[in-house]
Amino acid sequence: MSETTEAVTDATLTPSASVGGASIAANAGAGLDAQRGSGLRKGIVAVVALALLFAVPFVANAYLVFVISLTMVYAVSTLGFNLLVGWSGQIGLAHAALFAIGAYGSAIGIDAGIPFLVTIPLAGIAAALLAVVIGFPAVRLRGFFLAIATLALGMAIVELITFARPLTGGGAGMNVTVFALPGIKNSASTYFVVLAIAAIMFFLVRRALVGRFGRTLQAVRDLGPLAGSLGVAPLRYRLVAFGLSGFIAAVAGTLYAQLQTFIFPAMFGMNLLVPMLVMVFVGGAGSLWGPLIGAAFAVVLIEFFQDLGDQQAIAYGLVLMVVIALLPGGLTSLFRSVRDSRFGARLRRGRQR
Amino acid sequence: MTTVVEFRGVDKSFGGNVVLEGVDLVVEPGFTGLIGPNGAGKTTCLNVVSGYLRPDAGDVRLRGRSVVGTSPTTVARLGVSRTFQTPRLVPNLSALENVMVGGGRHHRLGHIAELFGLPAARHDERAQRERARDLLATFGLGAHPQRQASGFPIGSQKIIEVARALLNDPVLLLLDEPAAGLGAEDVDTLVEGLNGWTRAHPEAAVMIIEHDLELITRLCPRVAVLHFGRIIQAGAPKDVLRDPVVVEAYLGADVAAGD
Repeated sequence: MSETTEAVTDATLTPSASVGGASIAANAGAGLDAQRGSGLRKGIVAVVALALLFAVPFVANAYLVFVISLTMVYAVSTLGFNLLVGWSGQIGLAHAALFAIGAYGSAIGIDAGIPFLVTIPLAGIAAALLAVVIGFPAVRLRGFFLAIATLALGMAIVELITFARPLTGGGAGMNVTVFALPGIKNSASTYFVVLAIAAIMFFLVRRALVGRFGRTLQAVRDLGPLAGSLGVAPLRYRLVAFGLSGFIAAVAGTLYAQLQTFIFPAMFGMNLLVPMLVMVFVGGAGSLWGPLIGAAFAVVLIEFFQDLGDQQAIAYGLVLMVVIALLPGGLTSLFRSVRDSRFGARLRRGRQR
Repeated sequence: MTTVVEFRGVDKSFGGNVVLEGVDLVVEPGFTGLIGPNGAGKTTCLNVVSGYLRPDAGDVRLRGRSVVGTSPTTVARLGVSRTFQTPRLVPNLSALENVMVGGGRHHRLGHIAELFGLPAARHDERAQRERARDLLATFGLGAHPQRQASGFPIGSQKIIEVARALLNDPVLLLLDEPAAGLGAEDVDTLVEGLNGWTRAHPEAAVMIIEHDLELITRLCPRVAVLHFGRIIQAGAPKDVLRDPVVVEAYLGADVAAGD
């Protein structure tokens, strides 16, 4: 009870006190109504973008197809990570491990005779349950303590994967049986699967976040325990955010395994977690389309930093610090401030003339 | 008239600091003012009713049902809505969306319907949006419902918070210094809006903590004075505010403290 008391008096008396990750997330994302814009125009943009992406394997070389696939996989993963970090304001750091659960779960499932497409929801549900288990103690913690607790649990998961040698091949890794759509050659087939799943995930998550769920999540983030006075259960929402982000991470993980065709535990350590954070913050924590932009940015960085080997994580860490310091709302906030600036207004007027 | 909320011998202390001592208070439908010097325990009273603090002794009953030990979420769902001394909105949501964040009492759908935007959820969403729009209009903020909440002056943010609380259709509305930081015109709009709302909801009670005694006199047929955690006087504002004990304790203390 005394903890609640402190939380209440603290939050009531100091208006600027940031609750959890609120200070990071609060300046990101405009009103959702503003982001929603005109439905028809957004719909047309989405259809055109999907059509362009659909055409890629027919015109681009194998390398580009791989890079775009990887971007989409990371975008899906970031969709989940952003939901947790940006929308619910919880810096939970088990995301790379839950991503690994998806990759290994799917690969092991396929070896056991389960069709790949069926392993996607199965791995997702397994990771969601695991994320809820991780989240159960974590939602009672805040900020730094939440980060440390989830980081440790995530590392333990990756260690367990290494340990479960008969299933996972241990540290040496395992081959992934690649699923092929009938009549399409492998790399293009994987691309289409990734594109389809990514489109579905974006559609579903957007639908969840523009409505009451997204609003309530933000209220829980910004009001902390005081959100209870609105008649919503703050801890339950924070736990659901954990579960959802785990589900999404694992779905992305299943696709990642298909794309890499060979997976080993070291792929899912710090060298993945730090770029994942870069993707969230570069894209803009708490934004709707940030994950896509953040993922594209990170994939370019990954190519750029490839020769650094073990020093990669340091390079990402530096990028992360620079981004948070200079652009707390991420790249999407940069676009928004240009749009809302006088320059942007002049551009729009020019277009109408 | 039926009692909406009743405090019976409520004690509360933080460490060795006694904040409420044997508070007895009966709140009936309509407006009740709660006044007293800073640190008298007014906000603590609200925190006790809304489930954020558990009293050390005594009972708090909402329409006859004890709410001691009940979570803030459950209390809100029983129909207690509140605002805060400093407005607590979601800064990057629009004014309209901030109002729509309220109304937890009416949420009947589970997370599945909410997450997948099922027809029932979309129907709820439209209904809530309409009601939220009406409430904003009632309080004179109908002109820019889509503007980001952080773009409103503090006074307007407080009014948005009142609208959010009302979306819950409360049986008990708790307002913590709603007029602090509001201009004279905003205060008039607030008073009109609240009066209109209570006329439409004659069974509901509104408890107001306020330092603006003129506002208290305008709205509240009944006022209670807290001083060092005790109710020292309660009754009609014109009698209470003239009471020498009150003048000494409250007005005198405030003047002496240079508040």
